[in-house]
Amino acid sequence: MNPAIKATLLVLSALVLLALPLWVNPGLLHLVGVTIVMGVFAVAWNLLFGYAGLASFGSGGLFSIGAYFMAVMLRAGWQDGFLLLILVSMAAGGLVAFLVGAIALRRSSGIYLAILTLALSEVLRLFLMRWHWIGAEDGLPNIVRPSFSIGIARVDLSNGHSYYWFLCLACAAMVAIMWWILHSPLGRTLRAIRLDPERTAFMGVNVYGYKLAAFTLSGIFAAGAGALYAPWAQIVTPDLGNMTRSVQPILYTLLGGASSFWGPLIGAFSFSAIEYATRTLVGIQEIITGAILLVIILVFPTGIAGAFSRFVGALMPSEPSSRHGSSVASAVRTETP
Amino acid sequence: MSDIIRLENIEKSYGTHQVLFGIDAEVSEGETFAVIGPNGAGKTTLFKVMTGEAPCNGGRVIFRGEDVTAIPAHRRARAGMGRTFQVARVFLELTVLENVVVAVEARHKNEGRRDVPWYAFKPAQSVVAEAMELLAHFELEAKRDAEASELSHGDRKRLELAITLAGKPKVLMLDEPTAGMSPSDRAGVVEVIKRIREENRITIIMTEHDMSVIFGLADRILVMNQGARLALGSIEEVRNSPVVREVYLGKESQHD
Ligand SMILES: Nc1ncnc2c1ncn2[C@@H]1O[C@H](COP(=O)(O)OP(=O)(O)OP(=O)(O)O)[C@@H](O)[C@H]1O
Ligand SMILES: [Mg+2]
Repeated sequence: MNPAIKATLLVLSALVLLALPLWVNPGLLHLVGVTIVMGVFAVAWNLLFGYAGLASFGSGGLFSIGAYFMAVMLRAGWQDGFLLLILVSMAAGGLVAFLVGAIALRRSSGIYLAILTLALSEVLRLFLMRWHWIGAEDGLPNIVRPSFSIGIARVDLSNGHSYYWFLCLACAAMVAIMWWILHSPLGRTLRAIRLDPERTAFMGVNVYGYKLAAFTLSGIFAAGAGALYAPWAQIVTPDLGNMTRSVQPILYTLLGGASSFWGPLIGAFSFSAIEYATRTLVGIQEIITGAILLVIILVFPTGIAGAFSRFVGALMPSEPSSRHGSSVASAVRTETP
Repeated sequence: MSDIIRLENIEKSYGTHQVLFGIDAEVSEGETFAVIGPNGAGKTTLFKVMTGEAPCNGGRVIFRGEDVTAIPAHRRARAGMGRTFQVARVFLELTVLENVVVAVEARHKNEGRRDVPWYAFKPAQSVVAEAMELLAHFELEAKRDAEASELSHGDRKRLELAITLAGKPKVLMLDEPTAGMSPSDRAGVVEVIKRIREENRITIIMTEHDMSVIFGLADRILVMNQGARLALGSIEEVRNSPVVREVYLGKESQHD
């Protein structure tokens, strides 16, 4: 797409989102806020999948780490350092992702990595359900929307729609940082690794190190999304990190397109829009949603199918011979007039 | 030491299936060294053991005087091994230029160069210039913005060479550089390899089924059969070796 058109679309959607509180009802605004957060979460997941070629099924765990860190710190009354709290929550997610990745990426990839991350996030959820200090099954309610000062300026996010606007800005900042990272040499190298890790290693690239970096970055931003979510929902529960949460970014990414940086965000908004439009169809909502998704996927065979085949590819690394076999076949095809 | 690579008694098995039986060989700096043998002789496997793609079960690989047997592939690459694959492997979803840029950036990073900060979101001018020079070398500059998947088989082989040379290797390992090419393309590849050799004063290790390519390029030849070393010597020595004649050259007609 033409960069100018892209930029225009981006600015327009940002303006619409910022103006939303002026004309939509609180219920819908809440949904939009959640969607924005989930969009950032999905972009973070796709940083791992679309760029490094690793499929994690445990990103919900990292999301809930960010949310719980934020919830606990806000309830401890540290709201004055809110911006710092966001960074601390992100660091916590990054640290956990780094430790998990350091061990898991040594040996496992594909389906094993998917199962391992899923299992670990379930362990985390069960642990949160039993820990009474953080509310066990009931979670932590009554999370305040903070008010804090930057220098001499006082920022009060507890009133009206101010937290919504803050949420928009913070999410935009995170997306911008991820965009930047993925367009740097780091992002280019990660794309090369997804396409052919062995080939990349023969260029002198430490593939394990790069995968670990992607894993950690993805964890940082997944936790960042969780940290912003806590004051928005004003309650965190162990279910924040359940399997559904981990599957959501995958669904958004597949819907929107993994090969595009903006795909997961587009997917998140499309999905929410479909869900919202079908909300009154009690009982058959899931069926309608599923059918609409199916139609969308069939209408956009390249984007969605391309993403899907890569998804499968990441789950089950194909034998190099068969992959190269097909590349020869396509080479032969292009040579034939 | 003038041996750039020395293989000592290399053994390799896949499960219970032994593929290499105690291969000894040494490659001198600056020479073009060919590995030949019938299909399944173990040539590609020997490449894998040298580059670190697959570990060997016995023996040692010495590279530039250092034992690299236990060293992973990316560190051997940093030390100066560059390779191409029997079926060209390029990054199909990246553009032709991006393919080479990734390789140049990887080398710059390994050299500890500071002119390309990791966070710059456009490739540095110096990187693009270097990549374009390599593309020009292989007559690919007009296709710089095409996706590598759109390239023909021959173009992919040349792009792969450009990627590999971007790493400024000390040893260039070519696994069947003319595989799947027409006779006229083969002649072109021989010319390209000769040019690379002259311009970079590089050591080349190659496998090849086409004897005319081998005889046009190689200084010395290692002949393998069923995972064992059959002969090692100059073209003349190998040609006149009765063992080689019997086991390998007698079957040559099967391969073309
Ligand atoms: N990954 C693997 N697992 C099991 N056996 C393998 C593997 N790779 C190669 N082999 C076996 O090792 C032997 C040597 O294979 P190799 O690819 O090294 O031969 P080659 O000399 O390169 O042959 P070609 O001329 O066909 O390229 C063959 O018998 C092959 O079946
Ligand atoms: Mg081979």
